[in-house]
Amino acid sequence: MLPLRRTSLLIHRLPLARFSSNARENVNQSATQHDSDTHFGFQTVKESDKWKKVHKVFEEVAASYDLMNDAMSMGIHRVWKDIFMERLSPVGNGIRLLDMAGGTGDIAFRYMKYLQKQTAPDRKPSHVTVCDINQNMLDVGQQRWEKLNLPTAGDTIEWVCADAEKLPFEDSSFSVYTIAFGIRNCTHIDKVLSEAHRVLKPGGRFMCLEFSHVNNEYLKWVYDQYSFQVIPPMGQILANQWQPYQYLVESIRKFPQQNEFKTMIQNAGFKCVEYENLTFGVVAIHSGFKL
Amino acid sequence: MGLRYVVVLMSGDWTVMYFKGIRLMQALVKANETFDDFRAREEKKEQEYVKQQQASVATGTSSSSHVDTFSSTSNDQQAPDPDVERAKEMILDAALAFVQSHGWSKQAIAKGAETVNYPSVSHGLFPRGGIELVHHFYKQCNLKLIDYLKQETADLERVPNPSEFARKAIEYRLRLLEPYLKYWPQALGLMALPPNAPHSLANVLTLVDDICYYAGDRSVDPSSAHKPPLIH
Repeated sequence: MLPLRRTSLLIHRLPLARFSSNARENVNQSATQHDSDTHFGFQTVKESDKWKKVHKVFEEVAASYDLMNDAMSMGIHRVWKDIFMERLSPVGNGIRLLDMAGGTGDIAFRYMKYLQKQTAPDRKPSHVTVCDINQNMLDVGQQRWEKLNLPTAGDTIEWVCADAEKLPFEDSSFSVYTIAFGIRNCTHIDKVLSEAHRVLKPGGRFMCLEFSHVNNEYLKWVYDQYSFQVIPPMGQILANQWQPYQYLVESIRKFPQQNEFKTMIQNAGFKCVEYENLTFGVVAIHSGFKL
Repeated sequence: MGLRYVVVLMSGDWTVMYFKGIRLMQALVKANETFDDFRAREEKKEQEYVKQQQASVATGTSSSSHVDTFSSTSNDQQAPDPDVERAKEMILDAALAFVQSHGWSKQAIAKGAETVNYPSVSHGLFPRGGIELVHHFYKQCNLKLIDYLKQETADLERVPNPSEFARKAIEYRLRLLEPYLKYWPQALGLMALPPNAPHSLANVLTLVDDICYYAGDRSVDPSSAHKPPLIH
């Protein structure tokens, strides 16, 4: 029995080794044709592997995600998200929000709370679809929603597991697309932006809240020290995870600068693209309209 | 003669100032002669510019090929996108209908956007909120006033009674506010806020300048600015 199993293992392993070094395997090459290198934090990985690694990161951190957010940003992430929602100001009827990489639901819950503050009695109900590539994050989000128990007055919430680069929604089906602290984890940012452009209605708004680059040199040094010396150990102590938080701080450095990202959004077809730095550029809100 | 002596007394160096005084008087005399010419030149330049703008809009390609939208620092050096401008105009025009119920606010802009088939979140195109609606309305009223003044002065060589003319113009301009009187104090308050005050002041001064111009005052010299404050 044993020798057979060993050889069967060998048989499975050899083909893989052969494909990686054999240039005439055109059939397989076409599948991996566009598999160039990309960054995973400061490491270089294949594009097809990146989503798997990111998926693993978020699987591991899902349970302690909110606790770690509070610890790392000393609670300021709540203020950032409040400001983000205030910039959006969803007043009006029948707004359909797509919260991409919405995971644990922070943006979606703030949206629902904002809607409940609207006093117009004949307001048409609005809707939010929380979408994330990682089911674990969505599960945590759904638990939090149930615990929150917010009276919704006709507004609806939906949880969908999908890839930002290939959204299962129809064209022009949402009035707002938000993505908070998610876009830097995507492999192809330009595809995410063009999908966002596709699913938005004309006049719809794209808003992105993301870690960005600090403009002041001295503050940047302080921020770097805090990021690399404090955050991964904190992750180890609080959540027993070092690697995911190492990835997190490295991926922030790899994300394009504010102006570069603004150009990418413009290239996807959005107009009136603006950005606003929060906390000296630690975080930036980018906004564009589909006009 | 008198000017020369004044200038000499003011300085100590009578030789230099004597000649400078002569030059100054000559320059002033020359300037007075060309005020009307200057105005005529400026009007011609303005008409040419308007024609040029119309031509570029007609061809449609010149400004929209480099669609560089607004920078975050609002140092807007690129040409504004015509699609965006049109959309903004449409939304603000529609929003005026909701001022009577919602005041000069982003709620009114959101409702306006909905009536022109844009999602209500497009009020985000106007990040400063209600004040943008106020400025838009003010500009519209100024343009209506200019049309009225052009009509009134169409057949006239010279306005017979400038102060009566100014009074009529002001009355017309004030009556344009009638539908929005209920929330006009809010608009005045918004216009007076420090971030908005420069733009509001520019609007008011344009208005005053237009009335003075059509009433016959062609001076460019600021020392004859006694009229505008009276209109204020």
